[in-house]
Amino acid sequence: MDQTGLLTTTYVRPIAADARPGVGAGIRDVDGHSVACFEIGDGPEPRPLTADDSRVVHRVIDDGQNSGLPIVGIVHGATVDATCGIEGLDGWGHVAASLARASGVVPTILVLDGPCVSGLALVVGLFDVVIATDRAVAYVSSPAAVATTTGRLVDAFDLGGAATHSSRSGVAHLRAPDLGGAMSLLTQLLDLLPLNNADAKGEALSSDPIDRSCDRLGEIVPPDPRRSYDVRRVLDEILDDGHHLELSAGFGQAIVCALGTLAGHTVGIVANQPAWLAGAIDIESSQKAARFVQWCDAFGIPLLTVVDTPGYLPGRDLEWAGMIRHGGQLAFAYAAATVPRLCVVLRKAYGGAFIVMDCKTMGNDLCVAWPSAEIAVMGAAGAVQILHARELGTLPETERDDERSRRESEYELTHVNPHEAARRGYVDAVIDPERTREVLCRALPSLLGKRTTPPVRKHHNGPL
Amino acid sequence: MMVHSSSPGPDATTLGGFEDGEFPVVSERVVISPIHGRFEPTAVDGDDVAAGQLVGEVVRSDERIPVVTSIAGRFMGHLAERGERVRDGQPIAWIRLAS
Repeated sequence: MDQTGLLTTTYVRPIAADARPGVGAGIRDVDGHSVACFEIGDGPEPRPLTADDSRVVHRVIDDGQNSGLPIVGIVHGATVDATCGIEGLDGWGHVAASLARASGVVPTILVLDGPCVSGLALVVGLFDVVIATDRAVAYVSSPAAVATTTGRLVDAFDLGGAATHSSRSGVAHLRAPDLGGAMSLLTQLLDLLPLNNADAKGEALSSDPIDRSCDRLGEIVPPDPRRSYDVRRVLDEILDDGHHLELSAGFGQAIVCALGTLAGHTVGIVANQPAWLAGAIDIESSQKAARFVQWCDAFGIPLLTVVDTPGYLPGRDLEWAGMIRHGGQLAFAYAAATVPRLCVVLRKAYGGAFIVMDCKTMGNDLCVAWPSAEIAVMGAAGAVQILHARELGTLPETERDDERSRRESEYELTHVNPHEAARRGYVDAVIDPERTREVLCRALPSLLGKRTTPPVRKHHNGPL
Repeated sequence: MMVHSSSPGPDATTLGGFEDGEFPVVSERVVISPIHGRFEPTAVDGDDVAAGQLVGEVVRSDERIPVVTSIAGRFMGHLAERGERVRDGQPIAWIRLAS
């Protein structure tokens, strides 16, 4: 890295430029966005991060927080400097502490374009968004340590490469083949984010009419509730210019988390994904969505929740792994969110999943449902089995199936629809699907001044 | 939007000596399942086990795959329950190295 070059071309306000060659830091411009940036590593090998390096990095993080500018780290390669002794550890401890202080004040984004290993890798987990390139490698324990402890041979990329962190671990939110692609994603992200938690994100320019009819939704969403579809096509139909930026697309795929705009305003979208295990919510998708909701709330980004889920994925191992605890994270994140909250129920909204996916009781500001919505405690088959098991059991076998079908039809007519919920006020309006965009675009501006006063406390104790 | 790469990225071996990560100095090791399947333990907590000794089996279809420890030590306990469906590579038991 040519430090002199960086001074003149990269940073409009360099920080300690001469102190640490190999670590660039300062305020710079990224495609029209001013950010507090640090850049580590300049060669094929990761830079052992000294205590002095860390000092520069945490100084720029503190500067970003104080200046109200997003913090962007670009790591080409970093590891702990074993020769530094405990001072090296102390250094990245300061970096971690600075990032924690900045969390929720300014967006923190990491472009990981090389190895970031050892304890230092934990810092990767502190960023709001991690963009990983194909050169990215992050792990705490080395392949050698894994081999010694478990007997399993694994290479560095399998253990902690971009593919692994985009799917299995969920550490990486966006993935690009190279640094150029990563910087392009960074720009798209910055286009959608406010500078800080006190900044009202300005309206994006869009020529997409707010009253555009969503004619294709009828083709995209099959009327048969047992048939699946890709909810991302629904989002593109509703959002401005048919565009959204999905985060963590390969992790917790039962829920889609994305940023987009509605009537020019950035919204965070949380949508069940019927194309993945029918949209049944599991642990990974709950965790992913909970952190996304919390993030949007921290930065005043309104939430749009799109519901079509049969409920929670059943499984012994799933329950043992903490479905309750992690499911609780999503419920908690929604309940605690004070940003404008819009909810659209497309088809299935059953049981606890209906409550957790930002229902009226959880505090949404507008809940609309399509006529095809099924809002009930459970589906007709399950309900009839519970409610009429004894009666059905007394019938001769020849009559039993007919009676079961009759009872199921009766239950569907009475309970499996949006009208019962609407009559009770759990749904604000049943709308024509083609008007979904218009309804949401008209409602959102009326909520942008929303103010709530949370109770006084040090902080909440939500399930982590 | 997820951008997928068609290139596999740099060869893992090019990381050279920089694969270093944390390396905890502990006298415990875990035994992992060699395949996915249903776990059936055989070793008993507190037993002294020798390298190569059977500590359990993983059953898949009609196959019974033995799980053996590659190290000697004290068998401390199972990390998977009898009958639990385990994944390839899932820790199923832990052993304290013989001193």
